[in-house]
Amino acid sequence: MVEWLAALRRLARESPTLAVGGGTLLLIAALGLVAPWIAPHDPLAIAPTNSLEPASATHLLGTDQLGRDLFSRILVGTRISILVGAAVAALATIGGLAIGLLAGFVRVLDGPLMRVMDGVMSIPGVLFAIALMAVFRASVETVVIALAIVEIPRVVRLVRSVVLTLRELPFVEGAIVSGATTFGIVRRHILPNTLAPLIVQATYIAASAIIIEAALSFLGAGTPPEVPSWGNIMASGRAFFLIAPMLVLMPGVVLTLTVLAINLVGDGLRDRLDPKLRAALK
Amino acid sequence: MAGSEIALEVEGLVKHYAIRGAAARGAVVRAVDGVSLRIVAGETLALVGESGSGKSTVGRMILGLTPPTAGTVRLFGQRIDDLDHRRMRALRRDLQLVFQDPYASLNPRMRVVDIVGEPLANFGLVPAAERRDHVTEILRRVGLGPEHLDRLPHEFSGGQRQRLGIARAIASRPRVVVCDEPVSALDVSVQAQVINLLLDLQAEFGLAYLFIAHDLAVVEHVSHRTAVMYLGALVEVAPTRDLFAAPRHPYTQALLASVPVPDPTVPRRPPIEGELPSAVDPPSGCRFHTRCPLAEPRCRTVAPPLRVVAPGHEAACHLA
Amino acid sequence: MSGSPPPALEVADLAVDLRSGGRTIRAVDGMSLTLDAGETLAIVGESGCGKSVTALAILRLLPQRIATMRASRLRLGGEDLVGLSEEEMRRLRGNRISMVFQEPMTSLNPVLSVGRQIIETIRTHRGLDRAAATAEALDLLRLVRIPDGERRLGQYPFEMSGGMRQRVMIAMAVACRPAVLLADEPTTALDVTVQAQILDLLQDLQRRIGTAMVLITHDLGVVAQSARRVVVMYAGRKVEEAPVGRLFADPRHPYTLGLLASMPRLGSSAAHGPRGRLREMSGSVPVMDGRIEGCPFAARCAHALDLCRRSAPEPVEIAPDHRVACWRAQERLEMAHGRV
Repeated sequence: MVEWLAALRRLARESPTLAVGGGTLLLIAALGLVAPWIAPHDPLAIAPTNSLEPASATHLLGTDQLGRDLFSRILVGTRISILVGAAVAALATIGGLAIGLLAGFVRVLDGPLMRVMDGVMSIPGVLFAIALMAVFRASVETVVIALAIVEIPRVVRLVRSVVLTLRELPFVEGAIVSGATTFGIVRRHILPNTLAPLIVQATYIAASAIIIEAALSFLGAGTPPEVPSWGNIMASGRAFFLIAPMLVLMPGVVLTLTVLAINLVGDGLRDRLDPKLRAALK
Repeated sequence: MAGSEIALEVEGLVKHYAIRGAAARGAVVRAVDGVSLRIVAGETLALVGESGSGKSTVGRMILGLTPPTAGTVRLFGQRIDDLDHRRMRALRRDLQLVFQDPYASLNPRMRVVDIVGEPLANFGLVPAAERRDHVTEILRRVGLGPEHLDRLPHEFSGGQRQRLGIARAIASRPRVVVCDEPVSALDVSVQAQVINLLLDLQAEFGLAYLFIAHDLAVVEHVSHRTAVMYLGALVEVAPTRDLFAAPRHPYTQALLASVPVPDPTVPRRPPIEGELPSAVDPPSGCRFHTRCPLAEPRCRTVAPPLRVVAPGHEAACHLA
Repeated sequence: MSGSPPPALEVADLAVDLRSGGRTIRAVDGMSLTLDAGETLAIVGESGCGKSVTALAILRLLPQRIATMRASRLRLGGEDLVGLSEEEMRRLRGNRISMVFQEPMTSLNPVLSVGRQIIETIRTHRGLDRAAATAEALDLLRLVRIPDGERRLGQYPFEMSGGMRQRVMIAMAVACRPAVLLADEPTTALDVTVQAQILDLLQDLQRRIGTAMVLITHDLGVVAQSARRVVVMYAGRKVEEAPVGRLFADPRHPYTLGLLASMPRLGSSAAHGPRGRLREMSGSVPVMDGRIEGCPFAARCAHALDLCRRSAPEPVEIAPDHRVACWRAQERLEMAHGRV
């Protein structure tokens, strides 16, 4: 326990961005996780008599036009945003890693794969998601899949460029000479050295996925309107902005805070995981 | 000392690189243009030349890191340049490499025990449980101790890292080791330590070295025989003592004359003029004729083949 | 004051601290040197000995963020550099004192033609118009023996060989006929035949324009063939200084002895047969974090006394112009272990 605290204190001193961002993000994620149990009200419960109430002791941030508790709705919405961010980052990273390794190692696949990726990359993410939504039913899963597909090429490019750089490095050739199999080289030499930039990239993908999901919901093309995602809350509160600005501002503030925290974590990790920078910091 | 069994034999090795881009349609870089070498078991053959001579490419083709355009490589009589991945991998146990750059050749995230133990694991030579003890023994052999087992490469000095690289190369008890500029990244005071280590290991394990280097003084110290490359081709091959005492090829002579002598009483010799011609369009006839002080008309048209000019001494010059 | 002209460059008690992370390294400690007009002084030492830092400190090119320097004296041709402003230093650099670096590729801007870079240098420092500067650039290329100057001016650095690029760097460095040229490993990245050409060129230039040169190198062969006097550095300090003939004939510091003894030399196979073991200096260069107690070489020195580990020797003059920082400088020490 004492060691833990010491390690945390050292982290805070060496990478304050990582500590602040990570702390904020953990807090937000934890709140989202336990939201159903700690939310003071049912986020879906309609009470027309209480519509558009100002902030009070019972309704911390007031209520929306249908009398739903804004605080509870934002709290539960956290789950969706964090889930979308994490799922998109995970899917895009895993998919991109697999394709990137293939492109980097199998010379005949490199050209075709990269051309496909160029094609995917030219699709605007929001439009693609709207199109998928029109074909399939609107759901969180569809949003996640759409965003993951659009983000994959960025990961592929990163992984491929890291692989191509590493392949030429003497220590990888050293492994070849030492009798390593291609799988062994990937596992022991390529993956560990790819992981750092990949994790950093994943944080940026998560941040951008959260923003796009909110934007899609705000446009009415994302998560179904009955789900209290931040985008949906803002969309439904839009009409009442002049009477109850909290309905739009509060989800926006939380969204901004979350994205900022994730980006801080990404920047902090980038600095910490770079061995050259880390050596310079020591 | 050297036996008579031929450890490594290279015949007519060629490497041409196609130049990419529309402007260079069909142009090739003739990095290596027909190199034949032979190394006897336990012998050191030095391959010297300036940058662009193709000496490192020869080493890479021998190791199967660069596929040759033409030519054959034989290891103890077995042809290895046309092997598939799996069979080549098995064979690498006998054919190892020491790199020039002791920083880039070690994975920065791996501990010493895993770096030096990698060939032991890959070739299935030592069971995992005994690997640590085995690595300790190899480290001792290159002058490092058990306290180094769990360290990361960045905790070592340049000389110690090169010892690690050597430890990895000898771990599988190879019979042929290609040393690609093994001391040129090291400080003078550390160079001597590493050279002596290589000599000791050769004596102990009967290794054959292909010692690729540009530093002629180092080469003279370590090798039995020396081969000189210029612009992708061999110009002279001879027992080291003969080559340094009586070089026959004008390029070898110029190379030796260019080395600054660490003795202020020796006057500086005038340098040879000109620069290395392009390997895309090498000079006709003898490749050295554009810079050769002795060049005659026939040198411009007829390429001189490598021929015996004294016992064991070959030179590719019309006038040698 | 005597009647003789002041030395081209005078440095006394130069100390440089480099900060990296939380640590401070004393990269140069108590360095003094005097460079007479027109002469070549070599600074020789291994990586990290402080020889390059010394040159960068003299030119005040070390980033202030990480480096602090002080010197009791720093004079260029009698003019004090210590109190000069950044702006005044900038005007001096490339003008009365200039530098040639090891890696000619990174010292040139890759996206500008060579001609443009040379011409701009000339125009900044000498205020010539474009036509005059172009003519001057062509003269400079002839001076550094680059044939076909007109065509070369239009080329980009990547179109040139390493030797040609280094010639361009030298041309830019001598464009203003500097009184002092600091050459930091100018031939280390080059092949041996090209190295010989560049060393020849530098010597020829010196004769023609009367520049004094500090030649920083790790190669004792280059020292022997190019310098008049030598300073040997180890761990940030000057350990020995002597005229070149004396240093090679009668080296007194154990580090100098070790360097000379451990370097492989041409002709060894004729003398001893091939494949002799080399003499080794044990250990490696110390990491200079924190202050070293006593002589920095004591840990590797076979002749070290208790005194050496306690107290650092100052350079003492043991013969005219021959200074040695060793408690045992008066003795003739031998390399501890001989040829095996």
